[in-house]
Amino acid sequence: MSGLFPISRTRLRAQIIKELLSILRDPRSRMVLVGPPLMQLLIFSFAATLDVTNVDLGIFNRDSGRASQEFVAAIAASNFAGDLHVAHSARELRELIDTRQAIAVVEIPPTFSRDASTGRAAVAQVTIDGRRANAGQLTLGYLSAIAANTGVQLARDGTPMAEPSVVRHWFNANRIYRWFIVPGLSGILSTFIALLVTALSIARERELGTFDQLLVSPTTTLEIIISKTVPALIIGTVLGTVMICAGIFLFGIPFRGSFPLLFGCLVLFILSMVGIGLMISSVSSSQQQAILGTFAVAVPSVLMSGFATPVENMPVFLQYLAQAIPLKHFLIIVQGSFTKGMPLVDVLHNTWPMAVIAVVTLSAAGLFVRSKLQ
Amino acid sequence: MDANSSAGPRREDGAAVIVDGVVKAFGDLRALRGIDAQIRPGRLTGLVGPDGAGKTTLMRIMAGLMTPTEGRVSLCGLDVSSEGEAVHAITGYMPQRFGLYEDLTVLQNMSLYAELRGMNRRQHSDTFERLLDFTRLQPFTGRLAGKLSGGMKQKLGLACALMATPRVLLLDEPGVGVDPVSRQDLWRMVKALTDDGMAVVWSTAYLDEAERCEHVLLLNEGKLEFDGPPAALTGRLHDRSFRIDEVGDERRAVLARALDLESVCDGVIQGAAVRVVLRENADREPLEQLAAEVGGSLDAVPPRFEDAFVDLLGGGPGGTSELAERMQAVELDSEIAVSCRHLTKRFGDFAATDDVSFEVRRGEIFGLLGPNGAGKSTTFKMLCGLLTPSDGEAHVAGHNLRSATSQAKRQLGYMAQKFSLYGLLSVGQNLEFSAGVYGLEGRIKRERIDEMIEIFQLGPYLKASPDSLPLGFKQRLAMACALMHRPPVLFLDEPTSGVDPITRREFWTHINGLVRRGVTVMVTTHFMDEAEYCDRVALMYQSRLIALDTPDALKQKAVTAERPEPTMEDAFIHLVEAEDGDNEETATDADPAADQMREHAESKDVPATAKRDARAQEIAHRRFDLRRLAALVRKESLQLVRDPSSILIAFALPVMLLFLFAYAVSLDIRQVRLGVVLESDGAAAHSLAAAFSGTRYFEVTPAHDRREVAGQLISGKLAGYVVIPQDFETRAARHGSEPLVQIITDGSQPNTASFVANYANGVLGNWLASHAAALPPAPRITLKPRFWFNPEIDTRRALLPGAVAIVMTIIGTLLTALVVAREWERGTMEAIMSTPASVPEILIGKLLPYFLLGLAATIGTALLVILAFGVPIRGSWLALLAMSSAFLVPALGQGLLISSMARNQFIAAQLALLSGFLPAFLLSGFIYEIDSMPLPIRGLTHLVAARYFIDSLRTVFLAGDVWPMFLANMAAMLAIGSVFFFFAMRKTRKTLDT
Repeated sequence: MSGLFPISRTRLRAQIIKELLSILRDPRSRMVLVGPPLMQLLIFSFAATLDVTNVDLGIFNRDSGRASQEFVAAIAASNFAGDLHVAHSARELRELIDTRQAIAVVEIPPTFSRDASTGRAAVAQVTIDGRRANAGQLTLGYLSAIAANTGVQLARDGTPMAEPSVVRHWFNANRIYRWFIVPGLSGILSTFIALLVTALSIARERELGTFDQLLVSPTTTLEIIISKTVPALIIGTVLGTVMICAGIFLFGIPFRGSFPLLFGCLVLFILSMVGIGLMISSVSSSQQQAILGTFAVAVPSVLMSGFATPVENMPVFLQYLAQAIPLKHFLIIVQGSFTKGMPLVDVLHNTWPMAVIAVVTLSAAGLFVRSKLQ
Repeated sequence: MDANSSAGPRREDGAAVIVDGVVKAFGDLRALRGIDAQIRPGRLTGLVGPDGAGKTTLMRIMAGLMTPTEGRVSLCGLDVSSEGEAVHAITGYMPQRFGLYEDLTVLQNMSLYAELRGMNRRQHSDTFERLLDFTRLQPFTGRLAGKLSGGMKQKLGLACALMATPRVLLLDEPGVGVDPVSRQDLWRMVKALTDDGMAVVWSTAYLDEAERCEHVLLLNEGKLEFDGPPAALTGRLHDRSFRIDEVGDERRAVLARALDLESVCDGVIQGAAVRVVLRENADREPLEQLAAEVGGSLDAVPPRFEDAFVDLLGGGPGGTSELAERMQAVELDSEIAVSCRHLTKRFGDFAATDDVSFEVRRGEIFGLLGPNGAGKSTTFKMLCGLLTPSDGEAHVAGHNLRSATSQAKRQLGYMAQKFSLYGLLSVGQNLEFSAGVYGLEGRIKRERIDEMIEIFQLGPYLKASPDSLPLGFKQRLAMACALMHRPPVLFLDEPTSGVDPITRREFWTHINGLVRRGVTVMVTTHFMDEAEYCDRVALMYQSRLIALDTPDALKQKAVTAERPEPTMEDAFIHLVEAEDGDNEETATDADPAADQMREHAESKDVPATAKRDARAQEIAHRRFDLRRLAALVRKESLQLVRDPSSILIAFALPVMLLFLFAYAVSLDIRQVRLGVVLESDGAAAHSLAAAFSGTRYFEVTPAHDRREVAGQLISGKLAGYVVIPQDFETRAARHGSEPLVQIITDGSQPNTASFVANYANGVLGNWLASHAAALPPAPRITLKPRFWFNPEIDTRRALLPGAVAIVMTIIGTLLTALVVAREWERGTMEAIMSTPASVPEILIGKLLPYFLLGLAATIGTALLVILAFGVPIRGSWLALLAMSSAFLVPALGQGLLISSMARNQFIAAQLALLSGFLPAFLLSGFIYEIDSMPLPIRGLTHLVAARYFIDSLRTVFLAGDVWPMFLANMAAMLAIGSVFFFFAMRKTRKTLDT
């Protein structure tokens, strides 16, 4: 009860129960807490794909030979193409792109089939919508593959020929985007929940005046911090676990790592987010400030975490900054645990930064709560 | 009078307001159950009743803000529900929180309300001068309303309500939280107004205020209990009010015994005396006996309104506190329970508490009084450990609050004005929490909780939320929570503010009982009746202690010839004014400002008044008035400029987001870490390996064994590797009958994996082409790619224009949602709605500044995108602005709808995030290709306005003006926007009614 860490188990238990109840007793707030994240997991895991499927293309075929017909047929049969718009003039072709009816248009010159049959390179012009740079690049990749393949088929007239390289995608042979998105989303959505729950906890009590009530009781700063940490930790961990399980059982993503290890990392990750949330909460004097603070932390965290785009693409100093983002480390661990079966050493390598962040932020939150008394 | 006439205001001498059989139901709850009453001009009518009696509901109905479920109200001959606009033109309404914009100055607040009431500029200056004089706010015109003291805010609220000299003035609880000095000022002003012929309604839960009204409507549980002059009610109590004088130390025991008598219906402590009210036709014998026994004298005193009120409600509670009975006598080591020496608290240069010293003895009730802002809250907070003193020290029960905080805190119980209960927890859970947080456990905890439940009869409510409890039970629960750990010292911070007399009496019965058990009580209050219960009262003024004595001694100081028996309130005002050194102002009845007001009123001839009324009517009948709109827009812009958080959201956040989108979010793969496993020693193999190192796409890690690199693929250090096999040379010689190299990628990052495979194959293809010897037969078909609009395939160019849409969503939806929700929270929406301004005006006035801010932010972000990040703009600025304007319609509409649904900032923020920001980010095609989404989600994206905006933005920036596409997109955005606005209008119109 005394000494460096004055903690009373009774007081602590009472406060933890209070925190849990204030979040979970009201059925509406229970629903707000559980419903949207799971809904988002479902919607976004289908919506967020950088892969290209079902894109509309335009074709302007000025040649009537066999090569051009085979090529067009191969494009139409491919599984990434949606509708194929047939154009009859260069203007129409241009309009298809301008008005965004097609992401790319292929123009086949009159000499195409002749060139192909005489062994010269038959060149088709592909115009891609640069406004959709990423999807455009992927589309070009697919079209090139179709072109090469059609050429080979024509040349060998049915006898197969080996590609110059064998490509193997490890861990996710068919590059199913969902396998990447779902584990990542579990991290992102837990981030938002853990941050919001904790960021509002002190700010709300301050607005309602119950924080004064708490401060006049014999409870200590350490107890307040612990009691605000534990419920958010439990809620964040449970939801995170549910989403990870949804990834395994609902989305059927192979899980090759160690579940207990991942669970431990999840707890540590949520703890570091809770620390950040409490820090926001202890410096905010109103709920509005806490909400804006959460927003200002969560959005850059997600953007710089490597979820939308790889961390390696960022400028070096942002890469250093990204080290301070718990989500960045957790994403590596959770994605590693799913398809890669990441070994212990590699997991630990990404674990310690989260531990450092948790210790720093939780202590800072404690200091802020104490100094607010001044 | 013909109540059915609707041909404009009528000028009879009859009632100003006629309330006819009004019933108001909220769901099952009937707030008003058939009220009939009349309010006459030239008279101050008090609308009196305990909390939850239906006062505010009736006020809102009279102000035309709510429609009655049954019955009707006519105001100066106008029906309030059907002729709302006309009613608003001749009514002044001050809602409970005064309806002021705290971030506007005094003068700006006044201008706003003046223009909303259709006053012209020339009229302004006259009226302003008159009102500023009248309210004595002249020196503070440039000050922000939020920086005014409670009393000054209230005067400003009154000045705003008085703009354009209304014929009926409705004041909803103007006295709450205001100190006696300010309250006296208010009385003076209202008196001047009624003398001028205005009908004034003053709602209050304080019965001493009711007594000063000329006419009283007494409400209880939605029913009208009494309608008449207060004297008519007090008259019924003739010869039933008595005072037992000179009982001093015994007064608490005497009160308890008196209240336990059958014949006594009510009793309170007044300084050293006890005031008692007998039941109707009761025998005074037992009371005389009691007085004789305790050696006090029994004198008849004139009845008060409060006596009559308590009598009407069937009398107060008994005198025995079961709580105190159960509680053991408190043992405290020291005779001094609370003490402070040279206590000082400085905030910057300002000392909120300046060198305050006093001691509170064990078993004493010690009151801390003072005007608003005098420093009593600061002092109080230091004494219970909520603030650390800058200087001096404070002890509770012998423990120094600075060094032994925890020990000291265990000795004190605390109960605040707002009761500080956890609304999200049930009653039982609140009790459990309080017991636990004070370290009670096991059997003792169980016993104490059960005891509290029994004493306070909380049994039936255990599962309910404290917010749903009747006020009396809420107070009991708060007491139970504060007393669970049996503290020897109890701190009460305005414990009965806004509480009805019966509940208040029950509260003091318990407190008196506790004090007799040796508990020490510290109390702050604005309520002078509460001060009478104190043994000693400390009066603070301008951060210092100016008086400390017993209530009777303080009252004695205020005795004058014309005031032989001053009340506590008189004493308070006297002492504060003596300190100020200028007594002349309020001591004399002649009030220059009030006189001026009266003169002003008299000087106006009747036709002028009629003309003014007619004009106000005319303006009010206009559903849309540009001047009112301009006033609202000006107000909103001033607030916008003044609030740093809006500026932060509008300008700092976009810069941060653009920066992140420019640098952190890049889909361009450069410098991907690729392993190249060179197993062959041949020259060709070496040249291929060199080809991989030579490209800017890869950062190559060379290796000779694939096991080396496989581990790095797992740990994420490499995104893939290429194996150049041992027999590479021989395979190359065989001209393509078998593959030359193996490319392994990290498929857990599918996007990167695709790029690695594509680019590695590209490098290989190029190498093959340039090494003809190794060349297999040339593939016959090649593609010549050309990227329109973005030849360098810079994804940043595609992302940044889209970022403008994200920024606009934040400003439009999130900011609007928060700002409008704040207006509801602060009660200013109500004040605006009681003016003649119509709902479309209010909404447009609110949104226009945000619309302009949105456009400004668009231009700002667009310039940043063009100048700082080098994205070209190939279309016209006209198109850009047209598209942005079209997008702001749904964005603002959505924010408005959210705020009218949520009306609380937290839920508003949540909804804005869920329905605004995330869809704009994920479902708009900003990063993720809409075409690649499954059909149901693709359908969903059509409802996201950002989708159309982002589409258009990219075209304007990268392609140019494609008007057919723009027009289609604009139509879609406007359609979505109109749906939002339609629902927002509907929701706002009926918001107060639900």
